[in-house]
Parts: sequence; structure tokens; C-alpha cells
Amino acid sequence: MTPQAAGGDAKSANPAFSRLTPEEARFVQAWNDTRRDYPRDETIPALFEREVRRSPGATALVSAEDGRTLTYDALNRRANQLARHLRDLGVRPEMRVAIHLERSFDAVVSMLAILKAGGAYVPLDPRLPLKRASHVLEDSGASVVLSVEPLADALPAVWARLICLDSDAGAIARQSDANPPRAGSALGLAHILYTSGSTGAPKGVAVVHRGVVRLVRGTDFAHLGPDEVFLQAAPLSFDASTFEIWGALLNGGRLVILSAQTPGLDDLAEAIRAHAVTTLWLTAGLFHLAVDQRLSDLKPLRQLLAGGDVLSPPRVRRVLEEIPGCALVNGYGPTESTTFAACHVIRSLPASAATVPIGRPIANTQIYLLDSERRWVPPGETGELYIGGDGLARGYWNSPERTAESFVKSPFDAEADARLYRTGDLARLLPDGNLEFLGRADHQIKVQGFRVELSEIESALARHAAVSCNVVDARQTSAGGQRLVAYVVLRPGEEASDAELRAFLQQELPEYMVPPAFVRLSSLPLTGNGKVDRRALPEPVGASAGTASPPRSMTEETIAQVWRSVLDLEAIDCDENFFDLGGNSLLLIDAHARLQKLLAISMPITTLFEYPTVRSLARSLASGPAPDESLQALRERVRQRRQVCDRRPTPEPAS
Amino acid sequence: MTPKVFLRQNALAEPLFNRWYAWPYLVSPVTAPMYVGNLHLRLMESFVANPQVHIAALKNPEMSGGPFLSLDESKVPAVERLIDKTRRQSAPLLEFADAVRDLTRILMTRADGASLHPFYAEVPEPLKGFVELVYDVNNHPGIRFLESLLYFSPYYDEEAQSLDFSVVNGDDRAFVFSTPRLEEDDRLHLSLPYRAEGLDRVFRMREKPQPLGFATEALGLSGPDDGRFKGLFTDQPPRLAEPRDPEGVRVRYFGHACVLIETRDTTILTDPVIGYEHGRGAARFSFADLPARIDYVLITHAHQDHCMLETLLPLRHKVGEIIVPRNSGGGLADPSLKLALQSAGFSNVSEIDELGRVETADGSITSIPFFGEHGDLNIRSKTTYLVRLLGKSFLFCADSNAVEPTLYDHLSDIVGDLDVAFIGMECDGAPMSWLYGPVVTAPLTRRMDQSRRLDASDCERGMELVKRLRPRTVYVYAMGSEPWLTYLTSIHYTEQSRPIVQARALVARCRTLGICAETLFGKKELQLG
Repeated sequence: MTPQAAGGDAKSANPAFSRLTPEEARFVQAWNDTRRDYPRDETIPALFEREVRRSPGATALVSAEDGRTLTYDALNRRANQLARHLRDLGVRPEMRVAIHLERSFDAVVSMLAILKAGGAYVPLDPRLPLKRASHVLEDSGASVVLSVEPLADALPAVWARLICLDSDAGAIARQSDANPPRAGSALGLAHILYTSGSTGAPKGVAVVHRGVVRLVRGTDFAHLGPDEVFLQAAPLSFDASTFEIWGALLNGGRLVILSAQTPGLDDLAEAIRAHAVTTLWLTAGLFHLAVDQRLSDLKPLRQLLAGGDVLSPPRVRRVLEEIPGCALVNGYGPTESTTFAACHVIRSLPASAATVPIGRPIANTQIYLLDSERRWVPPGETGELYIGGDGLARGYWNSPERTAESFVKSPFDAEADARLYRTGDLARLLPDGNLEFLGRADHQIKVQGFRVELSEIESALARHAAVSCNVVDARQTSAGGQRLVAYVVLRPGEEASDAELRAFLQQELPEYMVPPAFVRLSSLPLTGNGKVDRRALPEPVGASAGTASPPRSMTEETIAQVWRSVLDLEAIDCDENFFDLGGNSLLLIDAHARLQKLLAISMPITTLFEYPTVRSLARSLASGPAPDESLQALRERVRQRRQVCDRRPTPEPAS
Repeated sequence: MTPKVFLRQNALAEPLFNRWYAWPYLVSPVTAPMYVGNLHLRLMESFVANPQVHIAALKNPEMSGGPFLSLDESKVPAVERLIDKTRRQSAPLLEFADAVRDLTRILMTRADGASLHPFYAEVPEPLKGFVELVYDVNNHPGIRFLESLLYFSPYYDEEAQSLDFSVVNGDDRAFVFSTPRLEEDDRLHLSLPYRAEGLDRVFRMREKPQPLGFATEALGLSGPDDGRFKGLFTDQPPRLAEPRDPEGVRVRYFGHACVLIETRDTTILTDPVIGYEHGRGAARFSFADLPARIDYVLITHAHQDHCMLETLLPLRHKVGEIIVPRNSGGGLADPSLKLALQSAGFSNVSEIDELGRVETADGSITSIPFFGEHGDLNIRSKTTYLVRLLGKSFLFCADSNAVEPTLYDHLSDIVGDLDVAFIGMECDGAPMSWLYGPVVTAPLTRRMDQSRRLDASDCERGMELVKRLRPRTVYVYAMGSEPWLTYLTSIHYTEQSRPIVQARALVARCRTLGICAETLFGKKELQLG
């Protein structure tokens, strides 16, 4: 990066600085001078192997559920065997290998092995709808898929070579466990993560090794080192997992893996306590819940990173006040800049502050706030946020047009191929040099930390037979998060219940993209120039849920009260399913925590999955040892999952 | 006088479509676009992107027959050229395949039981006028393709048809269904439609010699021959076939599901697949063992190893009538065999319905229902045949799977006294997507795919049939086990392979019931009456 001079004579002046005073121009250039030493020419596996050599006996992985551990050396050997197996299958640099696994030792071994073989991993969430999973496999062109037998049945029947880590364990274990020859390069493809796409299909962000290395080495927003214990609780298809996994493993740290599908606040607390977690990432929604419900559980942390969506200032203040020993970091960044682009280590937040700043560009990253002609806007003015530097992804997989649209030539860098990523986010520079996030320039929103293009949901909904037209909007919830509301105009004479529309969308979209609330309109409100007037859309009134079956006991009333509150509904039918009423996993975590408090009981979060109606849950709680039974069931499930997800390759018995 | 030459007994003409080994689904304009778009291009593109994965996969014998090109890395540029050519040559077919996908999606998501008429406006351009939109009786929307009309559209592309001539010198031909035929030095590639009449003139030369110029003219060849064409011919006449006892019924097993039945007045050949005679390998019947005229060719179903163009085209000139099962009509997975074979130059193709009967000079041919082996898709074009000649009766079950034994209770009176049952026992079939993936428009999970296999009867199922129909003799056939068939089946059996174990068990159980039983392999001859 060679920033061009801003001042000097008019001839050499960069027009991109023309709206700034020379002083301001010098300021933003210094502000963006984030160069720091880091191993920019190394690959992820090379840095990992260095950690293995440094401390082979150090613990690399811990299972949060049962405490099993794997040392750096053991993890490396397992990854080496799988990497050699993948090499034998023909995996080479730039080739994509899908990982169809839950969070587990196997998943980390797989990622390492794929990278060691030179390939790139493509996380494929086992819970994706079939159509979407097919799209990811086809679009990425994954030639090999790693899974385990119990999950593999749900894979789309595609022609990629399927390797099951359990049933193929014998063949993998026959491979040498020595480091394979180096493959791949710093600018080679490391992984592809799929995010919501505005044209109706998800798009793959192609991330390179350097992007990841710059995220976790030479960093200035958090302390990453051998004494840190990270929790891996983010979905593998979500870029926070990039930070969790490689933040730990490329720095000699310890990674505690929480394999529960939907970890509740209890699970988080237990993992933090039992495994002395020091560094935790929470998406904004979960952060808010944890602060509201279980703040004391976060006390052992040394570093808490939160973000993925707008953080609520009162909650941030509570953390600052009540856990002063913990560094609180607001992390901002799109996958296109490899997880983080800016971070704000929050030392204090004035009472007057209405937002939590997103800070400054992190090491080896630049941020620009530009106007429509790509000139820096003066400090304090709103501009679109562009990102440059070593974190930039290569672009969108298989989509040169979309890449060209979003990854533009940098006017700030003399290097011909220097690019900026245009985020679509709006921000301004505060007097203290921090950035303030001001929302989106388009209709992309965040749900549970995931990016969602509203138009992708709209185009899916438009395919329903009864739907004439629709618009999907995000509405502020009382908890400070955003909630999707679908406004639907039905064709004349057609009917479609909320449950039917929801079930329809569930076949096409991941859970977090299915709106919890549907509002029927006779027509969409339009602006003068004929566009949908989003501001004129009514707030969903929480009376849509039926009251056919009101609460009949104290327990039912208490549960219903919690549900009404988390689901933003005025009345609840006690025989309706939580998820059909608009619940999602984040709301379930909330309900779980509140129920335990109000009923003064302890139950695993899985009980709520088993008894998803008010009535069934009340009955299960009333029938004496039910919670214990559920606990039994949980243990059984954990045991099964362990067998499923973390089955170690067992060496063939010597004959 | 110009010397006359014979077409070599082991001369091979592989019918190709866009240089992929042709079979009926690559002939029909309903299905061919789906295979070009959803199989051929994808496989070739996958190879170009990841040649090492294909090479590595095929080192594992379990993967042979899988979706991997059997080529080395040096062939990447040639495959890239073929991709380009296919994209240009078959652009209309690719548009057709996209349109099918789009229209399916429109109907599946929006047709809700109300009139389909409004959807005609949304039928994509390539399909307009070629499809009728229909519900089944469960209100599931679907597309009915006017298949016969599509043979007159750009989606029936004879330009993509060609033949690759060479001489077979061993039984080690590579598997043909997952790798295109690239230009190779020892092969002569001719752009000819399958229906070209000149092919008959050349194939007659297996028995009747002609001057070489007769053959060049028949195929419309011009320019100097570099020896490859001439190399297909010889001055050696074919060996003489053994004389046949004119009385009774002679049955000869040619391998796989191909059986020749001869009486004084009638000759019938089932599922023609003829091994080439090159003087090596296991003993076999070959072209020289066929009679001058075959009155009836019986096709049991449309799978590549049963309705094989490679064998059918050379026999075209001597076949009286081809009998094929009637398809359900209009569906994407069940094209018409009659239309496909007619377009390939067979003038006398007749469709037979379940329990339909054709009278022959000294007996009859009856269609008997065939269940299974088609991944539970609604494919009607499959039948077994009951052949009665001179009072002897033979049932050719091909790959039918006796999944519903009660069927044979109902059939036992119709079949009546049965001398010989030929039962296919390839009970380890491929997952359904292997064959039908390109025409299945809804996504399929691995679980669905693995459970819907293309498999024939195992011992238990086979015995259900045997117990109900009580044949005097049972022959297990259609196992794909002949060494000259690996190019079609990719099968390499061992003694422990499940089909072999199951066949052995069935033979043993038949014998305990006093029924003669044997698993056929290579060649076999029997004389009845």
C-alpha cells in the first residue's frame, strides 16, 4: 500500500481528496495508515504448523460438552492424514471442498486438511433447505464433500465425491500423519462463504489466505495469543467462525467447541465457566440477551467482541460498568473484508451517545467514506463506507459482473490492481476519529448477525401461488434488534395462512430469512413516483395469533406471558408451535432464559424444541421428573452427537 | 475386376451424440437436451476445473462408472474445445433445458389446482407450442411434451449425431457413458445421421462382399483414405455358421440379455448386444452366428445395455420388426422408444401394451408387466416378454424386480405352462440419479437417491416369481458379467459380489425344488423339442 500524497501542488493532488482541507486529508491518511507487521506472505496451514512446532503438547481443541481435548500435535496429525487423503483424491490449490458437518473436532480437522491440501473449504450448513444446499454445491463447484454418515443422507444427490469421516476413517488413518508438502499461497483461495444475494440466489464470497492471516495476526483490536481461550459457537457458514477458529489456532490459543445446535445462554455460561474461556464473540442479538439475562456469566471473560449488527448503548454501558476487567470490542465488517474491517475497543460510552461507534480500521485495513463521485466526504458528513487493504476477498465466486460492481479500483493507491470494496453501509467520521455506523444505503439488513437481502425474500415469496405482490421490511423490535415483516397482497379470492406462507419459505430459505410476521394488505402503499413506500407500511400489530386455546393454568399463563413478550404478540394460542408463531432460535434462547428465571427451574434448551407449544411444555414441566427426563434425553443426544460428529478415525486393527 | 472386401467381423461403429456414446435418451428431443445441459457439460466442466479429482477417482475401482471422465490431464484442451463446440452446436438444446427448469419451477411453486390456462403466457419461448400444461389427478401440475412434434423442431438435432468407426481387438473397451469420444488417431469419425441408409449397405458387407468403393460411396466419403477406412475391411470371408437342426426350437445365449430363438419359420432376438469376434478372450456367439434375417427384435426397456444402438444399427438391414414397450407419453423421464428408433432409421417399429400379443408364424409374443429397476419413476416403457414357439414357452424377465409378488399370482394363468424363465439378477443397481439425474427436476437428497436404485431381483424376489410361475428351467441372465461388456456396465464381479452370491443362492434353491437352474455366462445353446 502506497498512499498517494494528498497535499502538494494542484497537479499531483488526488481529486478523491478534493472535498477535504489539506489538514483533513492528512488526518484521514494517517488514520488509514494501519500498516503493521504480520506474516502477509504465509498461508493458514503454514502458520498453524509453526504453532505446532512451537508447542506440540499445548491444547488446541476442547469439546465444551464433554471436555475431550486434542493437542496441537494430535490435531495436526489428524489434519495431515486427511490432507494426504484429499491430495490422493486430487484436491489441489483453488479446488473447493464442501464441509457438511456440525461444529466439531471433525469440522476443524477438515478445514485444516483442506487448506493443507491446497484447497478451499465451503461450509455447507446441514440445516440448509435442499434447494439452497444444491445451489451452494453447484455454484461453488465443490468436487469433494466431507461429511459423516448420519448427516450425509440429507445431502443433495450431486456428483461431488463424498467422503464420510466416520465410514472412511480406516482409509484416512492409513495415510502418513507427517506434514504434507506445502500447497497453496497467501493469495490462494482459502474458503467461500455464501451470503444472501439481492438477485434471489445466495452469492459466494471468495476469501483468500492473506485476508484471514491479516485478521488474526498483527492485530490491534484484541489480544490473540497462546494464553487465550476462544469459544467456537458461531455457525461455520458465518464469518465470525473465521475469527474464532483461526484467531485461536494461528496464535497457539485454545478453541473450545460448543457443538450444541442452538446453544442457550446456559450452554454459553457453562462453557465459559468450565473451560475458562477468555475471548468470546457474540452477535448483537445474543449479546443483548446475554447482557439482559445473564450478565454475571460473562464476568470471567477478558475480551468480549460483539457486532454483526447495531449494538445497544445501554447494554454496552452495563457491560462497561459491571465487568470493568473485560475489554469490550464492537466489531464491524462484511465477509468481503474477511470478518472485520473496523473495530472499536470501547473504553467508555458517554450517556449522551445514541449509538456505539464502530471504531477505526483494523491493522492493514483502510476505510474510506466517499460520496457518489468517490471523493472523501468531509469529517462529520455521511458517506458510503468503502474498504481497502489486505482483508479484501477476491470477489464473488462465479460472478465477475457482481464482483466488478462491488470491488472497484482504488483511487487512493498507486498500485494498479488495488481495489476497494463498496459496502453499501453509511457512516460518518466522529470528531474523536471513530466511525459511526448510520445504516444501509440499500435494503440489506442483519438478522441474528446474518446479512439478509430483503429482495431475496421478496422474490421467494412472490413465487407462492396466492401472493400477488409483497414487500418485506425490517422493523425495530423492543429488544433493539430487527425483525422481518412480510407485507403480502393476496390474489383475489386466494387465501394463505401465515403457517402456509412460512412453510413455503422454509423450503427455499434458511431459518433466519423466514419472516416471523406476516401482514395482509389490500394493496401496497406507493410513493408519488410509484415505488413502494416503506415508511407507510403499518407496524404489525401483535394480535394476529389466534386465541382459540387460551392458558388454563398458572404455568401455562407464565409460559404464554414469556412467549407473548419475546414474540411481540398480544395473545397466544396454547396449542400453536413456537416456531409457527414466528419464533426463531434467538427468540428461543431468550424465552428459555426468561422461563427459567420466572419459573425458578432449570431445564435444557432442548426441552423447548421437544415441547414447542405452551400446553405441551406446561404439561412436561408439571409431570414431575420431566426436566430430568429431558436432561436424560439431552445427555443421550449429546452422546449420539459426539459419536456422530467427533468420531475419531479409528486405526485399522493390526491383522 | 475390382476385388471385393468384407466388413470385418470386429469392425465397430459407435453411434455418438455430441461425441458422447448414444443411447435412446440422447436421441429423443425431449430428453437429449436435459442430458447435454445437465450431464455432459457439467461433467466436462468439472473435469476441466478439477482433472486431478477425476483421475484420482478412477484409480479406485469402486468409482469406475461414476461421474468422472476417464482422461488424463493432457486432454484438458481437447475437452475445452468440445465444451465450446457443444455450447455452440447445441445452443437450442441448452435453451430448452433451461426453459424446462424455469417452467417446472413456475408450475411447482404457483400452480395450485386452479386453471392452468393463465400459465401458457409464462411458458418460456423455447417450449411454446411444444408443451401442454396438465394436472395429474392429485392436482400436481406437470408438463406434457409433444414428443412427436419435437422431432420436427430444432431440439432434434441430427447434426449432433455421428459415428466413430474402429476395429475392436480386445475386450478392454473403456466405459463409454462417462467420457466423450475425443478425436483419436486410430478412429474414423463420420458425421452421419443414424438413419443414413448407406450404413445398411456397409453393414451388409459383413456377409456379402463389395468393392471398397461401394462402401466409400455408401457413406459419402470423399478425399483420400489414410488407411483408417480401408482398415475396417478384409478380404477374409466370415466363418460359416454351424448348420441348424430344422426341427424344434434352438435357443442361443449371446451374453447379457441377448438371446436368439430360432425355429424353422421364426427368428427372434431379445435385447441385442453382440460381442465382437477378435480371436481373444472368452468364447462367444457373434455376428456370424446370426441368421440372415431376424423376424423380431424384442426390446425390454430403454436402458443402455438393453436398447443398444451400437448393435441395433448394424442389424437394421436384416430385422423384420422391432417390438418395443409403449411409453406413458409426454413425460420427461419416459421418451418413446418407437419414435427414437424410427428416427434412427428403423421402419418397422411396433409398440406393445401390457398383455398385448403379437402372433408369429408358429407362436406368439406376449408382453408381461415389468416392475422396478427404474427408480420408482413413472416409466411405462418396460416389459418382459413371453415367447411361445412350437408349443415351447420362454419368459424373458430382463431386469424386472419382483417387488410385488402378487402380480405373479395374477399372471400365472396367463403365462400358463412355462418351459424356461430367464431372470435378471443385477440386484446391486446404481442410485437413480446415475441414469435419471438429468431429467429429475426436483432436488433429491442422497437418502432418496440411494434408496431408489436401478436394481433387478435378488434371490428372495426371484424365488417369489419362480414359486408362482413354476418354470421347468430357470436361467439367470442379464448380469452384465461377460468380459466384453465392461464398456457398458463397468461391472467387475468377484465371487463375493452380491449379485453373484444371490444368483448362486437362487440356482441352489431352484434345484431343491426340482427345477433345472443355471447362471448363464458367455455362451450357451439349448435345443427344445
